[in-house]
Amino acid sequence: MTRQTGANDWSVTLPEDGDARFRWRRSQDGVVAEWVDVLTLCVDLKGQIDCTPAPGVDPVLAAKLAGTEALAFVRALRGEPSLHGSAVARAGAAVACLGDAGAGKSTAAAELCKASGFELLADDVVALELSTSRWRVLPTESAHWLSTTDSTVKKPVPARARGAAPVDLRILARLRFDDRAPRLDARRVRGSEAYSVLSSAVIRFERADAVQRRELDFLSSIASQAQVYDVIRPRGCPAGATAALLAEIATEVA
Amino acid sequence: MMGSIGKDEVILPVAHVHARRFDDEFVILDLSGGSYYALNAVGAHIWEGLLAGRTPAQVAHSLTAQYRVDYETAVNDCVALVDELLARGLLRRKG
Repeated sequence: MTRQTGANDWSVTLPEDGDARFRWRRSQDGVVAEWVDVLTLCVDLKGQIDCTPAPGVDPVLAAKLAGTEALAFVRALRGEPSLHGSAVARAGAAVACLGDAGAGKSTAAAELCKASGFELLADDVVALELSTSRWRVLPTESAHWLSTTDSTVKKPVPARARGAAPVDLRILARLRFDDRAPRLDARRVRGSEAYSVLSSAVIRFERADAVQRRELDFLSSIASQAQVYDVIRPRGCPAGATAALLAEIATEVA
Repeated sequence: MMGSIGKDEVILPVAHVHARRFDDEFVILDLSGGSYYALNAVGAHIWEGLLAGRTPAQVAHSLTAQYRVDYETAVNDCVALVDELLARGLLRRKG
């Protein structure tokens, strides 16, 4: 038996962490979530949603947040799961790219769309729905957010092709850089290792027991339906090579 | 401190633990402590047997049918795992 901690750390900042970037609270009128100085989201008791950008904020940034983190927040209130990552689809099979910030999730999705005939479903938040016992990725975004050569700030780049309907989730690939890795490599992971990979990608907003139980049920179900991979490469590995490997895996799985 | 679990004792689940299968392993979430535990295929077999109401001795018999292991080894391994699960508060003794 192995015991681990850490994989259940929240991937989204909670107010008790003392980080004022994001905070939310329940009130007698509903729920208020605030991305400080960017966006305020109110959900009333009837489920009506009001999303208000902060004065002077870049409307593109506010729209991005509304379509990603705010979307994930509203979905979480409804008990609907979301993963932090990008997702693309081809031939009825969706591939989700997971990983820490800077792991190359958006870049891999963009390369898959550019060179391998995939359509974009999501760039930042993978919204999932259970339909006829299958987990499907909802199409939620139409642009890749990529860093330019002269700036680390990400900017939207319209996708060449965008998915129009939910697609069965077949592959989840955790991307990471490791300069000790001799080359690009993808390894199928199973069991508790798959749980660890998936758990670290879940977007969470609260720790209630019922939420944690539902999350474990969800992750077990996901792991039973989709293949989980750990994709490691040294920095400097061409993004196109990573995408080509993912496309190859997608072809094999299909 | 209580001694080792008897091989014919019945083990019960506890309310603050939630477990699910991942391939041939089990992930056990301890909601009271915020940590999780992983059981390998044999541990998963034992866990499922115990939660189905079987005693360690009965689970050990089923292990001998599925794995290349003699009964004495199986029951000792089974009791050792149950002791650890009890010590960590992931299961409880009946009564």
